Amino acid sequence: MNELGGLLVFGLASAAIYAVAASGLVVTYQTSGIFNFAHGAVAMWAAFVYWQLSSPDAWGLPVWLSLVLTLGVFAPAFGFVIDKVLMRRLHDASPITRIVVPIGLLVALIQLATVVWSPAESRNLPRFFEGDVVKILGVGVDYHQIVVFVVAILVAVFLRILLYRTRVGVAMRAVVDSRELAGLNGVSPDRISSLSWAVGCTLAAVAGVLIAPILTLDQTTLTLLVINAYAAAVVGRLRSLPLTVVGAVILGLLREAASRYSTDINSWMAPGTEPGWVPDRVAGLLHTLAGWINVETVPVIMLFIALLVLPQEKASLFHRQPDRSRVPNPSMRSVYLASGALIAAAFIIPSLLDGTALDSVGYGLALGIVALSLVPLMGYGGQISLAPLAFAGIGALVMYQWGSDGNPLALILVVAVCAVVGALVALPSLRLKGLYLALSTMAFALFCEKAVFAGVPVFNQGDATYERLHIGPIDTSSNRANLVLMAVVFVLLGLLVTFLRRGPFGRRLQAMKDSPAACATLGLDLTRLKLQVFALSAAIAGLGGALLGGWRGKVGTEQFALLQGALPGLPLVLMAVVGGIAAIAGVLLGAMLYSMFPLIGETYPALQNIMTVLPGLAGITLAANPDGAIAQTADKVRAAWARRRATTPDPDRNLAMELLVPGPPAVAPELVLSGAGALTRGEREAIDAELGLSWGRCHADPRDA
Amino acid sequence: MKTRVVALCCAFALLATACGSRLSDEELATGGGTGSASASSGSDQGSGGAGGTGSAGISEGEGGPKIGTLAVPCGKGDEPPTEPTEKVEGVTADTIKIAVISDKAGQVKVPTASIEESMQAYVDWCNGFGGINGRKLELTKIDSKLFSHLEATKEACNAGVFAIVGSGSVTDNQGAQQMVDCGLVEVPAYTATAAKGLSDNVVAPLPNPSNFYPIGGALWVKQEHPKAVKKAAILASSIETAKVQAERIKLAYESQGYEFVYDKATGVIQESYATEASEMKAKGVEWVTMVSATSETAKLLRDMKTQGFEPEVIDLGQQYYDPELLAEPGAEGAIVQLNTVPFEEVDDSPALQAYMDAYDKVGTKVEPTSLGVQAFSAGLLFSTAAKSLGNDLTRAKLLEELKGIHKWDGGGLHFLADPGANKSSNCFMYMEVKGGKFVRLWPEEATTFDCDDSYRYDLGEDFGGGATVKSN
Repeated sequence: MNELGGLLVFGLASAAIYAVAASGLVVTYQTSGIFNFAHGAVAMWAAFVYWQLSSPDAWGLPVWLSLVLTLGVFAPAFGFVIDKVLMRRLHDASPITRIVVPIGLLVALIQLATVVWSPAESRNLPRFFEGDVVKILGVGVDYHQIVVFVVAILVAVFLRILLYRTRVGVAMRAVVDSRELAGLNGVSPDRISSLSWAVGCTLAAVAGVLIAPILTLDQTTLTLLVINAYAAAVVGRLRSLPLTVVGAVILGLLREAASRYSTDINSWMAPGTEPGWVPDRVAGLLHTLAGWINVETVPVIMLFIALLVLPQEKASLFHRQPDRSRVPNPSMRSVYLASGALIAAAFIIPSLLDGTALDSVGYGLALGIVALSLVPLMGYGGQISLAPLAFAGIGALVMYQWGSDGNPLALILVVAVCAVVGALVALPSLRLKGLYLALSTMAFALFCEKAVFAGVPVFNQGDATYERLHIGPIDTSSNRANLVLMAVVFVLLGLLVTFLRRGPFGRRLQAMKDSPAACATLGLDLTRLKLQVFALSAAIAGLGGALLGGWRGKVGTEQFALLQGALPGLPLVLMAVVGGIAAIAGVLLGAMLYSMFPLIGETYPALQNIMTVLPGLAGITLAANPDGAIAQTADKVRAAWARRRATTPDPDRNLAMELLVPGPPAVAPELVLSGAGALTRGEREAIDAELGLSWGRCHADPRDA
Repeated sequence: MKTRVVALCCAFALLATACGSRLSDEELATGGGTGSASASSGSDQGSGGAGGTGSAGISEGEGGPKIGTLAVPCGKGDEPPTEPTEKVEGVTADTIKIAVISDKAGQVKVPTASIEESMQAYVDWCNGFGGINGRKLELTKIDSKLFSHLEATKEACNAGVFAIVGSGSVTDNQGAQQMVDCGLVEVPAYTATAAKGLSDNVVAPLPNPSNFYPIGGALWVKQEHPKAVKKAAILASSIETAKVQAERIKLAYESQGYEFVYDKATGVIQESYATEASEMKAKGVEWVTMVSATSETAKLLRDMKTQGFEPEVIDLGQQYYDPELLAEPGAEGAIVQLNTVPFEEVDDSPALQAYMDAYDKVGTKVEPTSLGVQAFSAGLLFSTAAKSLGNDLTRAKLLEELKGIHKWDGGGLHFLADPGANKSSNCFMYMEVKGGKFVRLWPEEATTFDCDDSYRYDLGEDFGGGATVKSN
């Protein structure tokens, strides 16, 4: 058989799949300015809805009717709803919120789908023209693959015409570039935005209905496939459809080649086969590197390289939204009090709890340390990382290699190695920011999971065993001692971060977050700053991972995966942001809640389904409260206190409603149109206070209804 | 992560080596006591109603009701149950607390799906007869959630149970040492990894020690297709458990003259196996096996069909005894090994009828699986040993009693195994996919297995060994 022919045909067949998936992603970004991490999850939902409608095991409607209902009714309606409820609020949100909310949607959709369609049942979607095969270049191709190929081309052509040849398409792009200007030119930004999301979700549905019969119809496979397609979308710089198709072709061919030759590549420089002139160590290193290349890692590597090599879109420079998130600055007294309270709690809790509940508390505290690593990085510095758990995994791996007997000196090594890896990851990411930085850290996390962790069999099996630390005469092998140890570490790291925040380093970080361009103009070395904060963050996360190993006794890839596994990393980032990414107490709260949710579900089985969906839903709520739970709660409490002290308490006010109803919109439409959108929230509030305005009087606030 | 789990699930199925035996008349005659019952076909098929439970598949024999060929180990007992003289964890005058750990929740379909329901069925069924010597069983259900076997085992340690019965988790290596350390005894439905399969304090109804591999199937296929096995291919997904399983298969099969011309580590989830299919076709492969999830194997079979690659033998492990495989047209002609009496033969197997009847009464939507049958057998094994101890019920005595049971087929639920000595299977049977159904291929007679002592192959390696009791 013609080997090259096979490579070409199979490569193009899978390229068509990626092209369909990636073009929807690009269109959504181009017409809404939001990278829809949940694109794959929407595709998955559409596939399930199609199954529900068409399968003889379910409702058994005719295929054509099911297709019409799925693509013509469900998908646009779905897009309309997520735009109305979520995405419309995000157009002026901070980069972190714009990234975290779609991730929340992704996590929530996956979990909701497992509630609606139990994974315990197997479901089957037949291919179109089942069983018909045609021979191309000596290899068999079935009709369904040809259908996918044709649809990929049709979609690309249709989108090109829609976006560049129709008024609606131009309006879609205009709304992303400048909502205000588009509005002034007689376009309704809200209507266009809904339309964009309806089109985006319909494309996702097309991908879902076409790809699900090729893959397995389940909750994660399709979602993950679309994550692979990110690489193709990034080649198109999230803007250009033709380039996206090119990216899909490259991806398809690379994967095909990896599938064919990975066995040979992996054995490159294997011990005993390396040429004599190569030193053993170099050969060993090269062999390890070669071992990391396989069909699973190729899309991730390609994504990473594409992010690094391709020029970033310039538009983002002009389109920068002010980061409205606040950095709380508590008094040192309250910091010390809280630290003492945490250590005391760690001492008392083992007397109150045992078994699974105690395990979860310890797990949550270790994850708290990992989440703490995000405070300087994301909270202060505004650098988005989706990989904290991957760094924690590297920390755990180092600890396993050199300190699994409980030797505390190994922690120094953990810090050193993680800091170096953190800086290395930061190095290529230096020129990236916002979404692109998030994507590159995500690629790194996936790479760790699929190559680095998977390359250590014991770790990959979850069999890496740890003893708890023996620090000189202090033995932390009891639960209480270990919990107190973790609390002390958390407090020390928290204090370190607090002091850094109050010092010049912290000020530099905040300056970078506020305006990188201004910082550079003033002569601040941003490169060094980014390297430092990435290294710091990675080292903290690594410590968290090492301590998690000691607490749990055994860890492995499952504990440090991105999207799947015991308590995956993406939802952890989500929960940290929900808790309040700039507040130390906030990230701890987020991590604790994350670790406790499953426990609540077990204690009250009726709530189990809710508990699995909760992290995702919590992420979605950020659309309304970008500062996180701690800041929001503090605001509410403060407001309630102020009202208490006010002379005439209003008997009609309903406190419960106060707490439940989201706050006033951060940007009022009339303010935007008058050009006030550039004001920060603080400035606006100051103006409001001067004018004696309250949100309740000035705008239709539900709380006053 | 999910993908890895899928592969893990697949791997286990191959691990559980299919062994069955055609029982001799002599063996058939020795039913009772320690349960050396054979899978006899229908001769004493019960009409139900025994033991006042109205259960199907129960016959009234000498010395009480029987499930298949096994004396029902549940009932009032000869003497009234008493409070244990010394405190025994989980045992009181009228109850015995047991736990079952299995993978339930998650985003993937797991082959362990029906284990928990099967244990519930067993406990209800046994309590219907009056419990073990008058002590009712109380079941604690623990979900190991694919990755949380360690936490699940800790929970079992803290739950105050007497033993873990009928358990089965894909990553059962994780909590293996924990179970031994907290002094529990376990009668699992199946064991997936070396750590559990070779562990102390574990007695499985169908042992799967990782240092042996059952080769009955390999020998039979070789005899039927002598040329095909010289062009063998094995595909395994790139996860540790699957890789180990593939290595075991290769070691065992190569010793019997199989020649592997194609050996491929695939992605855990691939959208297509067309490349693999065309590569195998180019190499003239005639015998194919795969260690992966059913869904992935189904894709391989479909792509093989698309590429016009039709090997002589497609040889699959127990986990592929799954309706999902039947939905794939390319699966036609594939052969699947099985440990338990297939559900297709329920009319011929009173024991299986009893299981199905008990399972139906649980009222679950989860379909019964072969592993569920093994869980039911684990329940019977545990009860049989516990019953013979009477009021002298301790973990140490239970373990000793279990280790003394060397002939066990769950009253005819599966092939005859040696749980006491943790011996690898020496039996097999094959089903074939024919016309979208599983049809018995070999041995031809319903409910029987092909057994011989030469079917055990010593791999000479224990793949990490099992969890052991610390001596101090």
